[in-house]
Amino acid sequence: MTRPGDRLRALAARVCSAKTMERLIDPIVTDLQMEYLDAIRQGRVWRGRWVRIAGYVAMLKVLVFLSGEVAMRTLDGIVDHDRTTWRFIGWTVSATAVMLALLAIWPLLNLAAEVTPLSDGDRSKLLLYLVPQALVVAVPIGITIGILGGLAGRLSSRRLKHSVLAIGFVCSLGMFAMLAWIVPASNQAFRVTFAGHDLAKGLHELTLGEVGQRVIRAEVHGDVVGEPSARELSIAYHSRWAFSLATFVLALFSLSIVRPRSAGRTIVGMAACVLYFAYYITVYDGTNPLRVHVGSLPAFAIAWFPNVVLVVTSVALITVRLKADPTYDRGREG
Amino acid sequence: MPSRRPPTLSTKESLILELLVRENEMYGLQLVTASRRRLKRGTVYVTLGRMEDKGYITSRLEDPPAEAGGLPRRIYQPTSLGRRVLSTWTYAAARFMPEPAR
Repeated sequence: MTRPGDRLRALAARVCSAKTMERLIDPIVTDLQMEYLDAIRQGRVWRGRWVRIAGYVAMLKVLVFLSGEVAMRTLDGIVDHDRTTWRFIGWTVSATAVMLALLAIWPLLNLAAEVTPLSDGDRSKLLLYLVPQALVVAVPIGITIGILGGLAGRLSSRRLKHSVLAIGFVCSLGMFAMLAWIVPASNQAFRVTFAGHDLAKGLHELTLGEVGQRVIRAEVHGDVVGEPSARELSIAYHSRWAFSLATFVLALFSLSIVRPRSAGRTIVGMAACVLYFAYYITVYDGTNPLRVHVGSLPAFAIAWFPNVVLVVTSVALITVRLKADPTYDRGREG
Repeated sequence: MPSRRPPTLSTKESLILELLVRENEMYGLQLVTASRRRLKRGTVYVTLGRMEDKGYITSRLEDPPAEAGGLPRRIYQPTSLGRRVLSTWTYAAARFMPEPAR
């Protein structure tokens, strides 16, 4: 019987050195298992669940930190003494890489039994086809963690903050291209390779243009039984536009809440990130409460709601802070 | 001739040393609990690893109770160097600052 943390430890053992395993990973796993065992012995099931989650989060934090250390050591040779900038880059790159591995490799490992009959070439293709949809989630999360981990508790220049926002905006442009064309194509390629034969495209395998055309057709000719309704198509269409701005919106919000002398806003930033993604997951699978309970809400309002909330909140926070301290965003790395 | 840098002590390292000097030896999770969340589970081991590299603490593996099974636990103790660094740092902080910064 596997104990909590055994699988994660096995995964870490593939990438970490023996010294890292002995000093960092094993103590975390040991703590997790001892606390979990204590909780179960006392009949405290919810305490046991909390211990598991806290243990997994602790291990992920350490893995992200280790990746950042490697990235920082690699980048340290470059002549640029702005350590805050490199902290941001290190945290962003390592968090993105960890999320990409979790979102692309982990699902494939869980499908191991079903994909066993496929050839090595097909299995490699499946992994490749998972990368685009993993990337559209990993990059916004990576940049959010980069800001919350790399900039929190440190003075950072206005130039750095503007650069981070610009990076967020450029990434959002890239995300738009991914969501509009690449992710649908890779989704369809994954399905066909996995099934071993051609399959009709579903809603999530249509390009942005194809979804747009179907919206118009459904609005003109009415809904067709067995196909997504005009409203579903419209929500999907607007959601792809809205979600492509995730990187920029989350970067803006994270920058608005980090403080130069306090690292305490990290939880708020991560909670906002989790809620943001949870909202779009519910839009994706049709269970979004706004859509279900407020049927008269326009499709674009459902799609753009989180972006509007986060942008308005960010602008309000920045405005209030500038009024209180006009020099707050002019701090420089010492 | 290689230059010798004086030992440094970060806020978290001084907190860990204070706790270890007080209790003589502790597990990582005990340090997290005793620090009232100023130390975080997981990343506390990163700091402990650094301190062990600097020679401020040592650690040894302790077998878990028979009924628990699983991996052995690591227990940490301050070294004489760690105790000296802590007392020197505390003295310097008291001399130069009205209150130790935390």
